[in-house]
Amino acid sequence: MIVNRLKHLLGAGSALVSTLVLWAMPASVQAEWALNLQRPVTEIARVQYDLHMLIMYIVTVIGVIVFAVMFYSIVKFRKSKGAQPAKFSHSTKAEVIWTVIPTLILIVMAVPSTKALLLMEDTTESDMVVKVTGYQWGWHYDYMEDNVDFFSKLTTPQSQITGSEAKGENYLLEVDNHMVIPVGKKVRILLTARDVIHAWWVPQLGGKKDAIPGFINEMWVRADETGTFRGQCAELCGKDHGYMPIVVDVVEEAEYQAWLANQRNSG
Amino acid sequence: MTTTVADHHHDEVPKGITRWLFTTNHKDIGTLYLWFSFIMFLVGGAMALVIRAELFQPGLQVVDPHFYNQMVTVHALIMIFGAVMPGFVGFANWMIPMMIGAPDMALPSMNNWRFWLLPFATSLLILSLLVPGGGPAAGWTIYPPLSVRVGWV
Repeated sequence: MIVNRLKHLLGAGSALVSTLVLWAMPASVQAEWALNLQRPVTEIARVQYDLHMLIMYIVTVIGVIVFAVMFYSIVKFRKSKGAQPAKFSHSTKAEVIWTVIPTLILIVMAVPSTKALLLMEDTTESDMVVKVTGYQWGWHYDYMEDNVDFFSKLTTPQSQITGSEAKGENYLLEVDNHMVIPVGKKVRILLTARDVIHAWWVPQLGGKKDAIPGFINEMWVRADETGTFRGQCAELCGKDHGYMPIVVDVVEEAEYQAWLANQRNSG
Repeated sequence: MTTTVADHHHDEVPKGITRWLFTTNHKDIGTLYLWFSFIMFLVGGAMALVIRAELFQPGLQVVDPHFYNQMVTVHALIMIFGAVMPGFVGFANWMIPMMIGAPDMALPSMNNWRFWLLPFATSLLILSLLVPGGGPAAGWTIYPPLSVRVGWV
């Protein structure tokens, strides 16, 4: 009896354990071990992180319950112990219950999801706009209101890629020209491409969108803290799809203006 | 002591390669499909192993990026169109006539020709890896919506 209980607890428990581990671990440890989503620095990223955790908790609970019931049934009612199968078929009550409960769960999941989607789609009242164009194989940033534009390509040396040199700290995540935006300002990002479909993705800034040739996609970003945030192209675009990363510097407004002036003069 | 002219004799059972090239028998054709599917599974599997070998450690060790993309794409095409679908058809050819009490499939010659198209077509696919520019390297982007240039908006 105890062995049976232990067995079904074990299976159901492992899913529970990993969720508890993630919940209990401080964010810094999670980041260091590359567990869970990256630390959010925008409202959207935070909303996505929380939504992801909520869904994960719901899914874990469902998993634990289902596996527990399954193991219990298999062990407790096995034929070698003389279990008799049930003789009934049809039960309207069961069918109603097992429809209503999942519907309620879905509604509980749909409400925050829809709010998150509406938040992500609302690009109105932005403070500035940047046009980002995907090329094979690099990004082009165009601050259209200020007449500043430049290409941004990978700077990790080939020797690191082929292994003749030790890999640097930002292996495959470093570029020559960073995209610079001011902190706390709503930046509307227009996305397009010049050849094939790419996708612009910086996890900590929240959101990833396809850069599609002949189509203008849009997303927005409002960073809450300064720092350097790195991302990657997220749509297979040919041989160097893995070698066209994104680096965004979020700086104070004054520093941003200085950078912009510098770009205008030298560009 | 009589020699009858019209004694019944079995149609000659073809031996060797002609048995397999010109069969109209659903079991033989099913066998052909299943063996083909198995061989293609090994070929596609070898490509998967190339992918795994490259992904074992960060950085490029085994293949260049363009060839890697070709391996991924052709692995998928071979597995779907060379292993899974012929596997299904092989089982269908074998079992369905028996299951419905039919003597064979309808249009048995076409059934045979239908099989023999497959090795020809798959050779084209595999040989495409050897032409200048290489084989298809587009990965999942060969499927809609990415292939119809709409993407995920």
